[in-house]
Amino acid sequence: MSDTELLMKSAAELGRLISSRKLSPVELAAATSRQIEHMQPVLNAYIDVYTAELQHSAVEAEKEISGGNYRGPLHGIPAGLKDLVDVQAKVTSAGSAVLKNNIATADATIVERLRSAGAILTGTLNLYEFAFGISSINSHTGDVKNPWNVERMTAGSSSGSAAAVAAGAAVMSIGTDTGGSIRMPAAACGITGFKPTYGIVQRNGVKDLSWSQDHVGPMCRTAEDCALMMNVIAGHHIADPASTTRILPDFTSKLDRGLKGLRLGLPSDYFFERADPQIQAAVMAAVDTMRSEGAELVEVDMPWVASGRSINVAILIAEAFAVHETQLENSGHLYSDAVRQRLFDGSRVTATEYIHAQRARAKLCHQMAEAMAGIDMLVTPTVPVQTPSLADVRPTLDRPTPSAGKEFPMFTGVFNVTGQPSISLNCGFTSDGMPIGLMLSGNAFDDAAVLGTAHAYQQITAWSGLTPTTCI
Amino acid sequence: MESLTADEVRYIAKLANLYLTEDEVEMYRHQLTGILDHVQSLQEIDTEGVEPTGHATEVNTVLRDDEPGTPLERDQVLANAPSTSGEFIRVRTVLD
Repeated sequence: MSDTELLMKSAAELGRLISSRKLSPVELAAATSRQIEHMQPVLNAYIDVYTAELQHSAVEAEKEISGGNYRGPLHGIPAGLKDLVDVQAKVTSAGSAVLKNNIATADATIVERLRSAGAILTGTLNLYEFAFGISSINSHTGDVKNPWNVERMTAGSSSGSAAAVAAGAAVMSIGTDTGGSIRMPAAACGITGFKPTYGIVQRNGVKDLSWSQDHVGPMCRTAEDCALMMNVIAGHHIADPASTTRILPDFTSKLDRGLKGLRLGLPSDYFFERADPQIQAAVMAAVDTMRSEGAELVEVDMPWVASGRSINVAILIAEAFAVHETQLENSGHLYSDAVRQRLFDGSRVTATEYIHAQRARAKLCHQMAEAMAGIDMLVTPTVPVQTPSLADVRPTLDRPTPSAGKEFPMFTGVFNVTGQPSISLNCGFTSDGMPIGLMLSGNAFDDAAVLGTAHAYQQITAWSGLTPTTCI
Repeated sequence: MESLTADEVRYIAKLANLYLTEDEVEMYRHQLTGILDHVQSLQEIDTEGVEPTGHATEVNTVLRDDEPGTPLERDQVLANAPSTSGEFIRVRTVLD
C-alpha cells in the first residue's frame, strides 16, 4: 500500500487495521512523518512537528498492542493539535509573536485524554494569530495554503488543522471554533469538522478567545472519525466551569441510524438566498440525496437569524479584549496590526452594549429553540462564498482590511451564539475544483444525531476522503 | 459607525503601550474594520424584558449537596490551628 493510499484512509479504517494487526502504528507513523516532510514546505500546516516523539510513541503503541493491550479505536492513530492547546514542555504560541516562548507546564485535558486513548501526537498546527481571524494569513508563522489549490486560503482560524488532515499529514486534528473556525476551514479544505454543543468538550489548557462562545472539536476525514474522537475528548473538567456535568452519550451511537424519517429543516431565507449559486446548487443536491434516502424536509422561517453573526461578533470582540487586555498592555507591539485593530475595536464595546448583546443572544436562543421544535437538524451551506485567494485576503498598506472573505462566517457564527452542535462536510466542488461545505446543525446535546446524519450522507456519497492532487 | 477620533486612537494606543506618531494616529483613525457595525446593528433588536445570558447552554457549578453533617469537635479544630489561646484560635492582629 502506498503512503497516499494509507494516509487517505479514515481513522476508523486505520484503527481496524491496527487492531487486527494488519498495520503497525510504527508503519503508520513513519508514513505520516514522510507526508509531513513532503507537504510542510508546500502548505505550512505545522508550527512544530514532534518528529522524535511521533516515532517513540508509535513504538510504544506497537509494544502495547503486541502485548495484548489494545486501548481502542484511536490507539496508534496520529493526531495534530491546533497551537492553542497546551502540551507539557512544548510551546503554545497561539500563532503569535507574543507567546513564541510560552512553554506549557502541563498537558491540556484533551491532550491527556488523547494520550490515554493511545493517540499519537504529530505536533502543533498553524492558525490565525490567537484564533482571532477567518483567513489563513499569519505574519508570524507564515500563511497556510489550501491543499486543493495552494493559491487559495484554507480559511481559519484552524487553518493548519484542516490543511494537515486534507493532505494526509495528520489522520485527525483538534480545532477550536468561536465563529466558525472549525467548520469554515473544514469546508474550504473538503474535510469534516465538528463543533460540539457548547460545554461538552471542556477547555482546560486551551487558550481562550471568547469564553462564552469558544468550542473545541475534532477535524477529521469523516463524521465517524469525529464521533470516535468525541468519545475520547468530551466530558467535564472542574477547571472549566462552563463544561457540562451531564452524562454524555456514546457519540457513535447514531452512526447506523440512517436518514429515513429524519426531519431536516431547510431555512427559507438568509442561508440560501445569500449563497453563491454553485454552493447553493451543491447543497440542494445534497438535500435531494438525503430526501431520496427517506429524510423529510421541513421549510423553516427564521428571518431573525441574520442577527446571529452580529451578536456573535459583538460578544466575541468584547470578551477577546477582556482576555487580551493585560497582554496587550505589556506586548502590544508584538501583535499584528489586524489583530491589534480588532482588539482596539473590542475595547470600544461598552458594558451596556455587551449586556444588550447578551440579551439579544437570549432572545435568539429562544427563537432558535422554537424553530427547531419538531425538526432534527437544519441543513445549510457552511459558507456563502467561494474560497478566495490568499492574495485577495492579505492585508496591505493600501488595503489594511480586505473585504474578500469577510462573508465567510456569516452562516457559522449563529451556532456559536446558540451553542448548538454543528458539522461541516464536503458535498461537492466548484467549477474551479474547490470543495463545498454542507452544514448540519442539530439540537443542543443531540450531537450524536448530527454525527449520525453526516455519517449516513457520507456512506451514500463519494465526497468525503478525496485526495487533493497536490498531496500525492 | 463613524471613524475614530484622534483622541480615541491615542487612548487605545495607550492601552496597548504603543507610541504613535501623528501620521499614524491619522492612519489608524480611518482604519476601522467595520466590526463595530455589528455592535451598532444590535441596537435595532428589541430586548425589552429579556434577561441577559452568559452562556448558550446550561452551566453547572460543581458543588457538593448542601446537607447537614456532624461538625468537627472543638479540640480537633484547635489541634489544626497554628496558635491557640484557650478555646480560641490566635491570629495575627489585622486591625490596630
